[in-house]
Amino acid sequence: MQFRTLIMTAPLALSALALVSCDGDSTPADRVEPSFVYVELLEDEVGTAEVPLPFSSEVAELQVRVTTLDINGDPYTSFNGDLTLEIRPGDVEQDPKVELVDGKFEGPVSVKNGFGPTRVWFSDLGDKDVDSGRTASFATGVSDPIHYSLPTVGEMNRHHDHETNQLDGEFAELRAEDRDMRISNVGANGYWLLDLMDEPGSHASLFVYTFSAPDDSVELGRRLTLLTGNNQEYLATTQLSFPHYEISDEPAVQMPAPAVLDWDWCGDDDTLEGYEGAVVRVESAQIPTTFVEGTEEYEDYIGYGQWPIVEQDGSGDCSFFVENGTTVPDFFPTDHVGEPMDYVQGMLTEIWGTWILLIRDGDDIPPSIYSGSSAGDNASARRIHRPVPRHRPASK
Amino acid sequence: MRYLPALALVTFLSGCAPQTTTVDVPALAGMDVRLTIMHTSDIHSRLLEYDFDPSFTDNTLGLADDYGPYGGIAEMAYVLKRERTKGGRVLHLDSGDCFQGAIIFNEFQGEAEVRTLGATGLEAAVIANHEFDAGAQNLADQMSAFASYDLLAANYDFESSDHPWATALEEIAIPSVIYTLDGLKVGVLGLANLSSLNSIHNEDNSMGITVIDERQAIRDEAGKLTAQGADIVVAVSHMGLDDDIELAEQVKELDIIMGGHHHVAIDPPLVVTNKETGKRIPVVHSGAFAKFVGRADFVIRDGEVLSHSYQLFPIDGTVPKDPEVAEILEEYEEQLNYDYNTSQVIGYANVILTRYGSTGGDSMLGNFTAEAMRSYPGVETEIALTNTLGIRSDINPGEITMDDLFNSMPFDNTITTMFLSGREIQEVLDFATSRSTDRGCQSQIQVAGIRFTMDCRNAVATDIVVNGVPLDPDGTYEVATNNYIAHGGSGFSMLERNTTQNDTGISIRDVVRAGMTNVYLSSAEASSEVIGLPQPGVCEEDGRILAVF
Repeated sequence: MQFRTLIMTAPLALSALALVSCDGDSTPADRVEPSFVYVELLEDEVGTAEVPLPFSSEVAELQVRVTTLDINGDPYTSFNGDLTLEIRPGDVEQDPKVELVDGKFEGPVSVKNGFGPTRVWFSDLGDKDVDSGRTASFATGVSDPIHYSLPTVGEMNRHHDHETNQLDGEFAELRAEDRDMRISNVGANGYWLLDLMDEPGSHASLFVYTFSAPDDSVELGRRLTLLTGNNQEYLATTQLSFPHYEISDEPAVQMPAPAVLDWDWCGDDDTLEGYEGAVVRVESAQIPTTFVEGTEEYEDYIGYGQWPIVEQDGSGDCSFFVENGTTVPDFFPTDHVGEPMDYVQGMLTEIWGTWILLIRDGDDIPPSIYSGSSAGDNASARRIHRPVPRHRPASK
Repeated sequence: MRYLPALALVTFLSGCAPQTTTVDVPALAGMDVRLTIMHTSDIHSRLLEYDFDPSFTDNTLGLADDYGPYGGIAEMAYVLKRERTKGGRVLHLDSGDCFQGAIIFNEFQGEAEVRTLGATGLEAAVIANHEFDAGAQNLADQMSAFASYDLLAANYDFESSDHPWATALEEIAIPSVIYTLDGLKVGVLGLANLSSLNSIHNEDNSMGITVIDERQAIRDEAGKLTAQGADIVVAVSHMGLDDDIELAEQVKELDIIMGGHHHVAIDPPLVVTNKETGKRIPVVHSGAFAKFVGRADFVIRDGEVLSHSYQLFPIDGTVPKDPEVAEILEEYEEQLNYDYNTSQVIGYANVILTRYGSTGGDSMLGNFTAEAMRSYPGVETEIALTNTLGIRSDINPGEITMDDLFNSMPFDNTITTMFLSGREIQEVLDFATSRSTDRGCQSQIQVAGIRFTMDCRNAVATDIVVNGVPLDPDGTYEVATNNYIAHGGSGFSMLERNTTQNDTGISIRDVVRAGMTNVYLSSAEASSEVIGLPQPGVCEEDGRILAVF
């Protein structure tokens, strides 16, 4: 096998080269210049891996010098056209087409949300004016890295729009090593975390979607020392998908009591967003007497499994919702309409402006209305249907 | 300035004419070089466009509702060829499982997949588990006859096998290759699938594959590629996402992983830091079923991947067909229509028929399939049990065609009956619950004649009731299942050892088709209008598998 590899690989490589010279697509016969782009950062402070610059979601200007080079690596001064600006990771906050004159550009570029080793890209992908007649060479150059700190959970989550966050759609790496990021609940397909170094309500919680049941190291109160994954707003709740994480050997700690949500915050998306993904508690609640068959809320319960609660003796015009589907399947809210509930607890999640408490176990429902019996045939017979539209790897 | 390289004049031996051509190749030392890798994976025979209901995640990734039909290799080829014109140094790598998943594979055994993939301009693909679905000899035959691209597998060795196809596969399946792109030497090695190919692990090893430890294979091949001048080493993998992440973290020789197997599109790609070198390794997965084409751009300097970007192109009804590939497909389409009448309507659905349960338990199509198996003449057992992943896609509302049925049930599995004791039933359901727990408490089996609670917190099945009576551990039950799990597939080894097995030879797809047709006809006759599926209690979730965490 090993001997065969040597024999097989070499002829194939030669064959690839032959193809190159045969049809000319890999080594172009009519070379388009520039062949290379050289990008220099003109900033004094670029940080180091050990001492990075702080993460910032504010727009920053970086001074750069860009030079186009020919096939010999010499300055290609005949270039007059646009290069495309990108920053990886991060966001460009200006027109990405940057004009070079005589093969040079020197000046500021506006970017934000860089984290970790961050590089500025300049690529020849063609001019802004697509009718300029110039052929793109696809030459690309990147700067040496600027080292930014990784964002904390709070820094990543905090955003003026409650349906998104600073790194929505990015591969996110979170600051964990010098934080106190703890597991606050474990579910069937993921876990929640809370950064104890931040105050309650400061966007410091997050759902980590593992698809499979989390491994045994994921225990309540344990500390995360590494966390990366794809940042996604799943139905307006921030989650990390495809996570990679490490958990410290140090002992678990007692997690703080649930944060109490004030009824005055009901309907205040911006305030509630600060608690998204956290263990919360709503007190003095009841299932509204209007929760009866034939109403929209009842139909939503049958279809999605979520049921409303309103403030006891309140106006009843603002609801939180509760879902107990897979965790306490033998509790039926329809049996308790109008009954007082001292409290309801759960993981706070958002679905497009609807705020839902996901019940963790029977203790999240007051004993006055739930005795804590286990699921049985009766529960099975009364099962409701609740779509759980998560992406699922599916291989046979 | 970092440096000023000297121009390299390289003389190539031309492979197409008896001449020597001299071209200018840039010396790349110290320079930033852009490499573009077009990426496809798990096409699963979706060569012809099809309809489905995109999920929220599909939407997030750019696959919009109401823009169908989706998929199609001619449409993928259009995007692949268009993007080639938008890059300098471009490769197209496929992470395997182009076979199995639509009627075109059942009919042509992979010929259409291999021909059309080649016509997209593909450079290399890795061998994946479904490439063996029509047998290793078939894989050898199809590749020998039709492949215009390299087939890679560094961790398979066929040399020691005495199976008749071994010599051919030993020649065809190469461990690695170098592609030279305007001076940049890109080493590519293949990591073939291990986890889902039961035949490798069984004693008979009917595929004749000797498995090489993947870490050793990577070290060996990467060493050779580097010795031959490769600037970087790319793994095209069908190991699965978890293995890809682990390899990126623990094996220092890889620079980029282009992966498949789990049918996930990850945009942007994951970045995994190698524990030993601190290198940041992009791990790219670009989805399945011809829904997306991925484009990853890397900036490389002196053998180091400095940075990367990624785009995922949805393949929907707005994408034109590439004429070359469309022409190849035409002949296959004509033959399919002649043989199968693929557009023939066999049923009607007034809602989407789902393959997964909305609460993680039983599902509409699962219940329908299991009930159809249990009640089919000549089967008629107390219980039916089939694996959820044997059903590969939902069925959209409206007319159900043969094509839809094959897309949903592509496997040519048959019904196997056997007798199991109550204790064995408990063992099967406990295993299924444990396996489901590992998959987010989403049931990995579908059943008929039985109800149970899938307790994912404790990974045990409880409250098992067979046709209204609690399970008797000492009782004996006749069970219908599919021949895949009856042979121990998906880990059901407790079924494999059963000596009462009887493979009826009855196709599960035919049984489901008969069920749908009967419902369609009876409804139509009864009411003189098309009502069709789902009939109450026939194609509905009813909580027979209660998922609890």
